[in-house]
Amino acid sequence: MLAYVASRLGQAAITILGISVIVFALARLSGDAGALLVPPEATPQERQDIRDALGLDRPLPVQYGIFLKGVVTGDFGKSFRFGEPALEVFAKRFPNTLQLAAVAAVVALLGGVSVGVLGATHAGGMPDRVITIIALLGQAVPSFLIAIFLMLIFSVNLGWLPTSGKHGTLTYIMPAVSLAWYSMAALARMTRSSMLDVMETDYVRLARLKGLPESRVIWKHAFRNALIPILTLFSLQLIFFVSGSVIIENIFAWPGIGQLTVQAIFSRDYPLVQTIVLVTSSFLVLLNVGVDLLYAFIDPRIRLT
Amino acid sequence: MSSEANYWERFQEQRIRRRIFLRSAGVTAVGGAAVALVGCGGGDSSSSGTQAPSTAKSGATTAASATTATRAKPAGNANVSVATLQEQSTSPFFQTGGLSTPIFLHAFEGFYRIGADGRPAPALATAFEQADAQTITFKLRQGAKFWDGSPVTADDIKWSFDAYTSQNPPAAPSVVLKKAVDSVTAPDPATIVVKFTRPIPFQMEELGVTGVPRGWPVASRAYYEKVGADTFKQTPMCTGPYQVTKNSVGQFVELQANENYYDPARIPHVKTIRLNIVPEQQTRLAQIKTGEADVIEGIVGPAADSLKNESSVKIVKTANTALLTVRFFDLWDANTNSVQKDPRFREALNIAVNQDQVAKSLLKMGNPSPGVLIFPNSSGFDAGTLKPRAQDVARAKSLISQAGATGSNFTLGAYTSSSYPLIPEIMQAYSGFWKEIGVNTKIETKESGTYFTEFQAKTPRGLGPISFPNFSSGALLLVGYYKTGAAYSTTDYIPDLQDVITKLSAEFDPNKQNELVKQGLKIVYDGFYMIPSPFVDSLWATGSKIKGWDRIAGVPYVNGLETLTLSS
Repeated sequence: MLAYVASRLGQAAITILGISVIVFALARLSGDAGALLVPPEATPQERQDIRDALGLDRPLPVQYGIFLKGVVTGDFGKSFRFGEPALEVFAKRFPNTLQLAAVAAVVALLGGVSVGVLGATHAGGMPDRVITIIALLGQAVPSFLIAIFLMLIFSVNLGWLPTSGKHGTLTYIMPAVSLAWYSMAALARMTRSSMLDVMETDYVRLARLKGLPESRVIWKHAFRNALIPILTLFSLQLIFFVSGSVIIENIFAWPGIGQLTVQAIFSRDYPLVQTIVLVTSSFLVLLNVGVDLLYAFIDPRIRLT
Repeated sequence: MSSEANYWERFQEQRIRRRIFLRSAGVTAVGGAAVALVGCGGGDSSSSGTQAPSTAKSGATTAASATTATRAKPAGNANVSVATLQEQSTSPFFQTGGLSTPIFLHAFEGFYRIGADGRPAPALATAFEQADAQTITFKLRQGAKFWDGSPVTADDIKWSFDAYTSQNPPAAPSVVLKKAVDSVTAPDPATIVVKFTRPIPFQMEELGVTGVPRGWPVASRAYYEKVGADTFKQTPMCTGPYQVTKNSVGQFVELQANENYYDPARIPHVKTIRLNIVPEQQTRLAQIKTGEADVIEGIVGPAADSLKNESSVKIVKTANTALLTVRFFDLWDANTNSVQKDPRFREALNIAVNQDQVAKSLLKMGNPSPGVLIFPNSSGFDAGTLKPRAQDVARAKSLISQAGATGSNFTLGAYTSSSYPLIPEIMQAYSGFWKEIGVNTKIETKESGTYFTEFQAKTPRGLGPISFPNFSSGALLLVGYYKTGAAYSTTDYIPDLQDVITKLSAEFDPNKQNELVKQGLKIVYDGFYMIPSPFVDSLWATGSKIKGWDRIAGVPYVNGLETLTLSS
């Protein structure tokens, strides 16, 4: 097990190093930060002065070396736009994104599983047909459209929920549902199909023959055995809850890294772009490593392959 | 560059024979001749006995503010939703650009601020004197106080210069300022003398310090030393009509009225204003409908239609806040035989477009422009000379034929801008206008940062637009955007124009500067060097709670909140 852990961590380190090279190169290929920082009327010399002041005149390998050395010591450089350490700017926002992602994950899991189980237990009936259509729509309609619809209905027309911002429990509802919408639909479909497979098995039939209450048959015997593919899909969706927040955060003025990412990219704030991508990617890579290790712990055959 | 350097050497040798004494009145009068003075302009005149009277201009304001005599103590609150505050810095020493205007224009001041007409107006100085090309002396305002009531001293001003120019990383304008300033001294408590390393013909405006047309942001040294850098960055101690009281990252900045402001006419009516960051236009529209916001910014023309049925919502505008011109990129290449060098071709593309149609049908706002980078409120703008040209398809076709350009093909760049709406759609319309006269274009839309980088490197060819927010100094426009080598210049090779710009860069008399600006702009207009697109307005929506609001002429970002009045 120790060798497996070391191997997965080694792979994760290589992946993160690769990401650091890619994000460093892509940020610089997309445009000149110095050109965007100075006023348009600045002279060529003034633009050069800014580049010098920010260290952008150095050769790219040297800049990358400085960046990598800084990362190792926890210094991601100072944001050009914010004038503060990029990691601090990121750290002020990332918890908000994680909070929204966590609520969205709970909404997606509870909603998707409940609806999927309901569909499976009423297979072919009216509830199942309605659920299938809703699940299809959930996967077909983009989340930003859902967000706008929710806002028009619950804020503008009904006046039940605040349109945006992060100031109290109510402000979580619409962003979380919008962010969870796609995953909820995917989980509902997966739960339904997985449950239908399990419901046909002999041990579920036996449980029924034994006269167990239907709820116990469904939740203890069927659902527990249908859970593995659902959890696998859910673990993959966790990444989406963080990366997919960019649009939702903008629509609902959520003060997370979504807004920040857009700002950083458009202003060519290299240190901040690098920090956002590298820290978020590292977080997600380590999350995946955690899921892999969990699988290996549950099923020893995995670590042998 | 070398000829320019020689010019300056000659200039230095000659010295300036006559002293140029520019009181605030004279400077403001230059701009004031052509532009608006909105409600709170009285504040300027109350602070300077020699202030020239200015005239009001329709369309620039929503309602007049109360006069000084009737002004009550600040009361109430208002929520203002802005698309962005960029880096949301509340440090006076780290302001990087226009998008944080709603913070810095209300909170921070230097020797001069941006007045109601868009031109410099006295703030912490009441007047200045330019004794020679490289020395400016400011007379400090007596009685100016920081938000905590402590007096603004010459030492605070000197310290602020050092603090502003020693930030790491620096705000871009501070790098330019640091290099341009040789020394800042205070010969007496009421005077600051700034010596420069190079001639400063535009009295510091050319240094581009964010929100401070003359000087740099001034803050309290004693407060900084008391609270430390971290607290100072969040809640600094400055002099503007509004004090920064809260800065919640990614969410809002809260401003509190400064009741000790030195100019009674600019003491705010509304006590507390919260600038909420709401990036998405649809969300801001929803907020104004639900009453969560009292003012929202950034309404693109067609979206204003969606508010027509909202009885409690009013659309207000500031006119001519941005301009788009399409450029002939082949002019950058001295060795090409591109038909773009033929004035007939350039004229044809100019008169083929129907600006009225674009303004009415597409933008649903704005007015035709003359095809020159200049604004109606810019110093040196001459409406008599720079008349928008009417569409004339028959003549355009004939000119294209004469130029042998029928069936010619060009790339047409496009990008999206925060200052000018619907650029890709406008380029689509222009492509249609030009197809009608036999010129084919293929539109290439790029992300704005990439587009600007390539533009500055002067690598694109064909045709492409470039947008600009309003700029009130015609002289700076000419030097900054038409001069050979300037980042956004496409007029590098026109010798007559460069000659005018060289003269302008050495001219210290604002009136003579304006004459040179007129000469330069006429060269561009007559040569059809830019294809026009309409001047556009900035639209805001105000809710039922808002009674009146005066804004600075031409500024596309939220400003003038000290004039905001609430319904009773």
